[in-house]
Amino acid sequence: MQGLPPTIAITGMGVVSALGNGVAAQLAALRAGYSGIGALRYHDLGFPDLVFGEVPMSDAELKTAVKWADAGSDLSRTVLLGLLAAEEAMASCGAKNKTGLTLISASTVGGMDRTEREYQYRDSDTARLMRAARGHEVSDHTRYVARSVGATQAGTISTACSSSANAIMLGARLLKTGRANAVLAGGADALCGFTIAGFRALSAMDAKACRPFSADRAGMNLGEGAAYVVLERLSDVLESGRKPLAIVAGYANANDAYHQTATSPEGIGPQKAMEGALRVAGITAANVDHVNAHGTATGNNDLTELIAMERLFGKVPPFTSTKSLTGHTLAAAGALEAVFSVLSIRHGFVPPTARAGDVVEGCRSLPVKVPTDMAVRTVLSNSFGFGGNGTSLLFSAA
Amino acid sequence: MELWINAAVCHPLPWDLGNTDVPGSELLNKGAARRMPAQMRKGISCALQALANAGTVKPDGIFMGTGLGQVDDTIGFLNEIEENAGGILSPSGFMRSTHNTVGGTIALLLTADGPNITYSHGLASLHWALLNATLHAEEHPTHNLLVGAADEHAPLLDALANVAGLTGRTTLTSGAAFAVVSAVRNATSLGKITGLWTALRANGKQWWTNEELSAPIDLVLFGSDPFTGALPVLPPHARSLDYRSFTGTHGSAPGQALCMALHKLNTGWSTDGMGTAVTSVLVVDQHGEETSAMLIER
Repeated sequence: MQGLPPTIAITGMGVVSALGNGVAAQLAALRAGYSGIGALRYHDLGFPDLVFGEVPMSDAELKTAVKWADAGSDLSRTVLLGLLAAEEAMASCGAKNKTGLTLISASTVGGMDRTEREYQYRDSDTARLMRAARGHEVSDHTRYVARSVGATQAGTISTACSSSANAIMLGARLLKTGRANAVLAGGADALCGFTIAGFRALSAMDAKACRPFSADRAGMNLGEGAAYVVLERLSDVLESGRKPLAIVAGYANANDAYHQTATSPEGIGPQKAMEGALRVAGITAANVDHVNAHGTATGNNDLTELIAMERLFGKVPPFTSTKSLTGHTLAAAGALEAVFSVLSIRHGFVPPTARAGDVVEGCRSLPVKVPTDMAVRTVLSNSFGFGGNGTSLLFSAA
Repeated sequence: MELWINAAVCHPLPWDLGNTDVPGSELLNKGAARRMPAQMRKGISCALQALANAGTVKPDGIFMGTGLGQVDDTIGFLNEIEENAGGILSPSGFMRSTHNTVGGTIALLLTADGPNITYSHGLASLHWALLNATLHAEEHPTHNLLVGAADEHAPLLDALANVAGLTGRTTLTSGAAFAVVSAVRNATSLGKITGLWTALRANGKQWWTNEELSAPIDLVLFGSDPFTGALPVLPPHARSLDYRSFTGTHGSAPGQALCMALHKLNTGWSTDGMGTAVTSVLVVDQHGEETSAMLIER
């Protein structure tokens, strides 16, 4: 008789975001309701009329903070962010060495920050562009992180804003089926002119600090960052005398199949993803204590996500959009919010949705507006992206 | 693991390079086709043909690989930023530059609302898509899944390859390959994938266990590292072929090699000149310090 599938535990976490460098900095900021949204200080990208969730470190400072001795001088900011978060995650997992480590990482822009700087030289000095272009692929950061942590297998997912949530889902399934012994899963994305211009062309950006789940929301603020979690089978963790941080209880990916950049008015895809995660976990919506929502603050996302949540839950449990604090970190968002979900469980609080105003038209649910202490045993974390790609992850107390 | 391949279509055909017909073109709605760039249209046409060959109307999941994504649209949007700095830009190029555009567009065309994941990991992109399909097929044995890979070519890539010293050693090309797979064999099955590997720091080392590759391999289709020309380490085999001398190099070339392997398996291509049929083909790629491979059997 086939036994129950193994339980998957989170044993390490690492983060760098607009809230600072490291998990401790995130926790302090989340509990204080600090918003990292502001004008650019460390990028020379222009866009003085917009605000962002910028990591408060220059490239030089990031490079200094990275411990890996082999980090070269020509790394993209995405690589540096990824290295920093991955190092913290591995150092915190309590095991000195991970044999047979699999890395599943995610990015949407990869080394675009360097490529776009050198693109103007494509005809006059192609070699100069080539030096940047060698690090252009979204998998470039994965290869560096893999080297720094000693992974023996690595893969890269690129499904827009759900990318690193999908990385965590894949990691959990590789462990459940015995295809990996330990997995480092997450993602990294740096701010760059390419994505800023793109989302501005889509009229998806608010010039002011964003107001998720508010009637007067007017778009997102882009952010940057990286986050990774170490995943292991719970039985292995307990056998080695360590304690898990939390459990990856459920996950699901579904496609809305409605529009390339917008969700269906009924939020069918988001609901399917959330229901799928509950099904994998074997629990009902009534068991969810808190939702870390996708909550980009665009008109379409927040309305359809709320419609889907209200249909699924009836009375939606305390929910929040931490993108109001970090900006939308694209491929890193799913992993970043996975870490925030674990912090909510371990420290018993729900972080606020900054600047949230009146209830969204046609809906009845308001997000948590101030840091709120409460017992949290189960968190549903949503990540929805371009192409109708939606992923929900469910985390529970260990 | 056993992942049955119930249909497989690619363009160009590595064994018939003179054939420029794009399979499935007539299956793509003309209105939708007009809105797509030519290279993306080719890929999606291949996907529709693979589904038609397998008799699958709507796949239960879509798992894609791409090395560089929609590179033509990416370059186009960079040009637009440069030309209209501070002005109003069209979002089309940006939207399509997202790596999961092909997978998302196929889902939109077919209203396929199952899982939809795109991997972008160089020459191992398709391998990860196949692994994800395997995980899904194990959980849902009755599901029919679309797995594929598509990559574009742009003149700027040739200029970059030239300054990188690749000219004469590596020809950068484009291509697409799609397959319909499931956990169970059916009437259209062409073969099965029985092994998938992605191994880091494997250059010069054995990347398989003797248990994994204990049976003789009839044919190895291999591709070397695009930058250094380094060859992957190969297990004992009857015959080998540098498949990229037919496909050129792009992130989805292993998909064309997969189709080539299925062609060999199903046309009784002899390895010894004595009519012995090919029953197993190993596709192996080297990319930097990473070796990726897939074993396909009849």
